[in-house]
Amino acid sequence: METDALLAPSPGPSQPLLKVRHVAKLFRSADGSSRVAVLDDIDLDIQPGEVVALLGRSGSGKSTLLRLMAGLIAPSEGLIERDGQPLRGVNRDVAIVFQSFALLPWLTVLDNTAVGLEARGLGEKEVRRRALRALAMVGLEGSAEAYPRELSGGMRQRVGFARAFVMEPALLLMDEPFSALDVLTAENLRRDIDELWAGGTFPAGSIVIVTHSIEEAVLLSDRVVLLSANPGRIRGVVPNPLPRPRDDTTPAFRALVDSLYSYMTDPDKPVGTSPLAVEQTTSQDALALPPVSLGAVVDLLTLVPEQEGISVAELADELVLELDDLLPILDAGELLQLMAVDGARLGLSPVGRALAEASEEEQQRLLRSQMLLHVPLVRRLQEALEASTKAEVEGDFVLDLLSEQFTQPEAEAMFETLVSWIRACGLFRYSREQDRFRAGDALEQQEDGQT
Amino acid sequence: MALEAGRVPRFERARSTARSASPSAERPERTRTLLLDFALLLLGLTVVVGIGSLSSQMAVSFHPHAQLPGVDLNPLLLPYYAARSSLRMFIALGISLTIAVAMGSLTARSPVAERLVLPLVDVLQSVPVLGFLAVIVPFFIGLFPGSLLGLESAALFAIVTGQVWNLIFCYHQSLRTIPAELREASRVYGFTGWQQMVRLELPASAIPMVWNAMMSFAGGWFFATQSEAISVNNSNYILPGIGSYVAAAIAQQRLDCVLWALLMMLLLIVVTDQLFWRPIVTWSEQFRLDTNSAAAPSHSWFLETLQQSELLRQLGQWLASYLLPLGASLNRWTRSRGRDGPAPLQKQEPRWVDNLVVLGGAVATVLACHHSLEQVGLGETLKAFGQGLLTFGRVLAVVGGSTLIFLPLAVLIGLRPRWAALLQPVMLMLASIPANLLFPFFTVVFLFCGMPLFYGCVVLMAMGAQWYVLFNVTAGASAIPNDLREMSQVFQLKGRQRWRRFLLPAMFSAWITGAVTASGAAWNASIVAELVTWGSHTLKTPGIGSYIAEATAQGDQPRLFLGLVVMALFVVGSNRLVWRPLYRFAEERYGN
Repeated sequence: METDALLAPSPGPSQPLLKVRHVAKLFRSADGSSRVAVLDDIDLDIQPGEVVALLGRSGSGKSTLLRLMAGLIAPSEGLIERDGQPLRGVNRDVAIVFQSFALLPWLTVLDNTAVGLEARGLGEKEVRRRALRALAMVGLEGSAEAYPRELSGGMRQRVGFARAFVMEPALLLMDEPFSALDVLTAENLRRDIDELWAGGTFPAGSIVIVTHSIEEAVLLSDRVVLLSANPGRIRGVVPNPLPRPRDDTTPAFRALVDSLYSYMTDPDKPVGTSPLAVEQTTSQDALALPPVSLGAVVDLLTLVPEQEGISVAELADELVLELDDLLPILDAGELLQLMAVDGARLGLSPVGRALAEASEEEQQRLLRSQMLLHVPLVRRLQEALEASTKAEVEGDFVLDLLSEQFTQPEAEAMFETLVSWIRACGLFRYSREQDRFRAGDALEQQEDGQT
Repeated sequence: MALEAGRVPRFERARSTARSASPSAERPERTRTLLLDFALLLLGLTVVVGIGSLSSQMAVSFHPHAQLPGVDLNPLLLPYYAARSSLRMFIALGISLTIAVAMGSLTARSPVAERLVLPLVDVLQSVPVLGFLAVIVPFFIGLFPGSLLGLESAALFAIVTGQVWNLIFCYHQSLRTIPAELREASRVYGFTGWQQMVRLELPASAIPMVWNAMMSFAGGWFFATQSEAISVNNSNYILPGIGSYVAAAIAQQRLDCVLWALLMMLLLIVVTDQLFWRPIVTWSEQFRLDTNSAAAPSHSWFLETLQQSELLRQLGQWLASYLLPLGASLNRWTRSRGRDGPAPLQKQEPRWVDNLVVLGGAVATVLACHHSLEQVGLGETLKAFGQGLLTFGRVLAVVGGSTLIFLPLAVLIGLRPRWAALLQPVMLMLASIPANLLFPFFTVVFLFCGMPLFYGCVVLMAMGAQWYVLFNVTAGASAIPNDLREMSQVFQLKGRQRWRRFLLPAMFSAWITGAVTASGAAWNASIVAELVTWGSHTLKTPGIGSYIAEATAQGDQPRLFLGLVVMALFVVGSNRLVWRPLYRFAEERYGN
């Protein structure tokens, strides 16, 4: 599969709807001293008549990329072209369907659908006619006078779709449109979109959908763009030639899902022949902590069968976990060297196996030692505590360390994760009121025991 | 090729909001509607004619040094005076809202404006309004020579400056808290400037603005009544209204007239609440952004009556048919030409503006100190500071006293939802009563039992301020989550423990809000509480309030300036050094 060809403009009379060339987006780090790259060197073309899925875990900048395409934010580097012209300001040919629906609560369904048309200055009768037709397309023509608060989540998102459809945009952007819905409603809505697209009269030229669900990407897309995280780069593009309407029970479907899982769980696995294969773990990642609790990691250990390990896709299925929820737990497990992912299979390390069978007290001891040995941020904190005369370290010290490399919300989240980890195994103590870390009693006992 | 209609769950039909008329009871229904329409028509015409004639009265001829007709103390004239005062209040409300929307929009869109305007507004809201009257009144009289409009404008100015700062902050804050996705949707779908304002910004800020306007309106009665009878530069100015009626009653020592005025005021407050605020609050519920419904949904019989009126419906449709083309034109004019949609809300923070503001503030303070030292000398300045301290002590006493007295009461009411829902509007109405209408009663008592004003004025100041503590703490108590309440019952928390561990932390930030508002009201009240008259008797006590009041009456500009600066410094100082840190403490410690 020549993935390079999928990045470049396809040979043919039609020009790409949107060209993204060497685009990077930088945000200021929390302490303002440097810039954190959320997206780096993105090259992508959107052709007319295709569905492109942007697949990646949180932190891969996929929502940022979507907003760059919409013209809501401007790239820090690089160029975005629409119909051959550089994009300035909001992209006129684009409509967005939002994760949280973004309906105006004080307008009726019909008025919400019609807002974009009103802004264009169409006459009242024409606006009403088109809005009703769009509502009929999503099956809500009877609810035209209802207010959003009277509707269920699925119906609200249908209104979101109707609002986008009525504009007949060249490019329809969807930002995790089904994440806020319950599983059944999301399933139904996905199939409806798939069937509508397959029917050939979809009211938009192309679709770009941001998703963290592999199944969703395979169900809806013609090609899947894989994004790495921190910073977000395109790892590669996987084509999706399955016939429409898609059937998720066919072996071909499952095979594609499995192959995407293997890519997602192994960040170093090259996608196709793309030279952007290997991810260098820069020092940017060294202090990073995945946003999960230690308890989740320990719980997962007990689910992995001893000898043969378990496939990640199976694990996600069994736990009914989205990729975004599972991958951080795997990352934490790998960081602590309790588990290892090889290909698409998860196995336990010897320490991990010992921990899975140990008593409560022994588990805590093992966690403490693993953290001290393998988590760089904990090591730095330990060094600081030892260097301090009162064995105390201000919380700001740790936060500053994180602020150098990460944006404000990232740094704060990692700080909280650190606090929960050291408390969970009793490694150090942290006082919220004084914002101070102290050596833990357990550690002192350990040291006493050793002397 | 529609999305298959059969897939959509059909169990969630839209509920029609219009009332369905039952076909069987048609004839009595129709007569009732007709009567209703007739009544409303009559009411509407009365209101329109009334406003017209009252407004014309605002512009009658007036000469500053001519002999003014005294206020007739005939109680039957009270409705007329009440109407004059109300007209002023509503005009001021309209002006305040317009300014707040304009300024709030500006500061939300431009980071430079935000950093310049907001600190300025913060300081301005700490300056006592009534102190400015000495400067404002001559200015406006000069602006409208020969017409009463000058005085009216001065009064309007006083009322507006009492209300507008709060509203600016409120609008600014509500614009900033509009969910990001709604903003993005408005940009992607190409909202015109007009649509942004009317479809997104105004509705999103409706609920906080209505509540804030209601509270500001309540506080505004004080300024309205106070500015109707003022003594500036050794001249007495009188505007017809309830305030001047009471002033005349005080001068003639007619306690019964004061009583009538108080009753009229109460009636006015109740009528305004039922016919104006309740309907608006109920109507604004539709703009609630979060899907969880309000704690206590409000009802308004008046609004429901209006909604049933056929006449009003027709009127509304007729108006809409005229306004729609206007709306379309506005859309056309405010549509962005060319590249961009409406400007995105900026996030950068220009630091140079901050430095400019601090520098400006420092320069202003130095100039003020220099000026006043030059004009009045060091001794006078120190004396003014000393008096400021006295008043500060009184303000603290007011806040502390109302807390001690009302805290248990507030807890009692707040923990019982039905009582709270019933009594909160009552408390708001109590807060609306201008404290200066109550002063004469107390003054008479003080004169009678010989109580020195030194202590007495604390009670006077409390009359205007204590309701804010009660109101806010009750709101805080009623906002305590159910499961915490149940926990305290199950674990039988009692006495000191219940207060220390449960009640006080839970209500802390609500109390701070109440205390800040109360202290602001107390400062304002001090100007009229530290110097009270009854007929020919005058009671005075040292304090910055009486300092300012005397300087105003005597037209002593330098002393007036000094007094205002001292009071402003105390208020701003206590804000920054006491209240803000307490707010932060509350957030961090108690997470409210």
